[in-house]
Amino acid sequence: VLIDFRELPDGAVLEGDICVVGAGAAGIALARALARQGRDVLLLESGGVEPEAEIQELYAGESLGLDYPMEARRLRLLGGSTNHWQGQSLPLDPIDLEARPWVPYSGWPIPHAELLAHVPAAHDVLGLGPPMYEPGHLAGTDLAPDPFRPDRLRSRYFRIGTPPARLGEKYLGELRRAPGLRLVLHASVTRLGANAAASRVERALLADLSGRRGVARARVFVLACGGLENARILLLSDDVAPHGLANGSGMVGRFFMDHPNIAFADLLVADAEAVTRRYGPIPDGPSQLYHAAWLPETTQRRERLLNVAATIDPHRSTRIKAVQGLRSLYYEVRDGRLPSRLGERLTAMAGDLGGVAAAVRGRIADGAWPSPGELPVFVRVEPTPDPESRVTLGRAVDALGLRRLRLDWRLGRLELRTARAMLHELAVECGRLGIGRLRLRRWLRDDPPSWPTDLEPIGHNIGTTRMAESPAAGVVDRHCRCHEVDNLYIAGSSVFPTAGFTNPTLNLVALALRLADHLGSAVQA
Amino acid sequence: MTRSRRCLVLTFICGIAALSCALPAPGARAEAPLELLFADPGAARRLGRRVLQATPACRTAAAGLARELATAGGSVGSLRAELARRVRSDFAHDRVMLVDGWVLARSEALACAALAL
Repeated sequence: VLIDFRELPDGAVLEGDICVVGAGAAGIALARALARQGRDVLLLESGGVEPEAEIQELYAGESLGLDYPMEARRLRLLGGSTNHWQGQSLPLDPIDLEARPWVPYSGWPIPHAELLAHVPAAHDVLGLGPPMYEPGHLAGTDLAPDPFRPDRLRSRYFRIGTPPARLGEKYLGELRRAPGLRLVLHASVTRLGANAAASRVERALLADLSGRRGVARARVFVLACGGLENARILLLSDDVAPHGLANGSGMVGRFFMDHPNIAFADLLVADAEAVTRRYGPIPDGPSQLYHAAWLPETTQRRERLLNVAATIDPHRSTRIKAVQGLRSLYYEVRDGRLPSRLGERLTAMAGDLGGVAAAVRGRIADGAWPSPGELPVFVRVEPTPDPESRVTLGRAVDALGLRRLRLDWRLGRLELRTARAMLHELAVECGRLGIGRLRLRRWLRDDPPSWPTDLEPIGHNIGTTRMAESPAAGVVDRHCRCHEVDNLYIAGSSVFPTAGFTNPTLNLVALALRLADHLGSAVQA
Repeated sequence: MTRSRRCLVLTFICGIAALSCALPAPGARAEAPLELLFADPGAARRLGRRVLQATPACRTAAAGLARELATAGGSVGSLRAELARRVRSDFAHDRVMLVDGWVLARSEALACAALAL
């Protein structure tokens, strides 16, 4: 059943067995799984089916540390941030869940196998095809990666949905039809109302932008609003607990993590097309494979480094095709030959007019086509968990009268040392194999290096309600239940104690499905 | 990146990846000077100055490399092949230098430095 909160009378009371707050990747995966168990589910979403500027603006906040455009890096509508994600997927590694002495605050309270067990189902949710990340079938083809020495680098592959699944669009019909599930759009949760001991949530207070109010009641509540908003709702829920709900240990909002989204180096290669063919996206069934050069665990342990991989910018592949189309056309026309595959070349060129223009400029200025290529290298370095990298409530309020977030995003020196080590290995292997030469970006050359001022986050909001065995060390327990609040659970990457180098969506969906299994038995009991 | 820098690095890459293409035509001059190794000797010299500035102690090694290559004698092709062999060996044994952000094999960095002596 689909309900628009704006069409309900003021003061409406909604009731369900389980109330899931937020219909993004985690919320939709969880609600679908619960509905399939026959649960009575209330799925609340602040936005609608389409983006709405006034609702999106509720996400604006203030940056204290590294600049973080909170409004732009997440989306507030059905499907959440899957409406703009790139679709790159890879499960976290076993080492990501380990307590590593050299990575402060590392270690998950669950074994890796428990997460991995839910990855195939998460693949189904995201439409990624089989969870296969070791494409042996590429061996012996011209798509096979170069033979890195396995003690130096390993080839890994992300899976990328083609196109990436927009979960709102993909599952709207199913959510409408699912027995026992009510999807309520335009219902923003303004706070959770708890009992006097702040040990149980009794209701979620709802509002829309017109001033309409309402209440949602349930036996169990699950926050699934994303890595920033989960913490915000807990902090806003301060009527009984002055520092916010589930925040007796002051851990809510701490340990915020994201991956830096910036090229760390450039790889100058002799054969840009061949490199892009191998290291850019490779079509494979319903998804694509995307190569990452990974620093092996043995090196991470020996050098006391974070988990890290490097990728070569795939977007150059379009440019190369476009430029090659232009170049071959130029020579064929010059030599008076009839152009072959004209349509294909024109399509490639039309797809990257900027690249074509740059190539023409280069040809005129330098007398040479832009080959060999210079390919940006992105390092995907795991962020160090840092309690001072955190969100708090600011003084400014949004259109619902709720205090906005203030984010102090920090990245540390271990990340830089790890990135340098990663690039050293990549440079050596690329040199040894005759692939090309690597040049560090200017900001990474200094000793010690420092983060550039124009650093951008990728938009992976991780860690603000971390999972830990003890209430002193985290917000939720191994079942994603708040230590201090019996019937409040959290879904999403905000519960990750560490972030790994990979993208969080596949992993948070896997964790949401694990939570659905747990709730299935817990709520029944 | 400037065109000259690109030519320079391409020279290095060609030395390894496309060695057979880089071999000289029959009748190429014997005992080629070091600068014939580079598509753009001016850029190589500039990079060589950077090497010497960053690591003055390289001066002796650069001069030594120049002597060794000179005594090896032969054509541009054989000189290039010898340098390519050393570069491969350097990368295989982690003998690299960071020059102006470039991660270069020690031999190619020293070859540039030798030009700048």
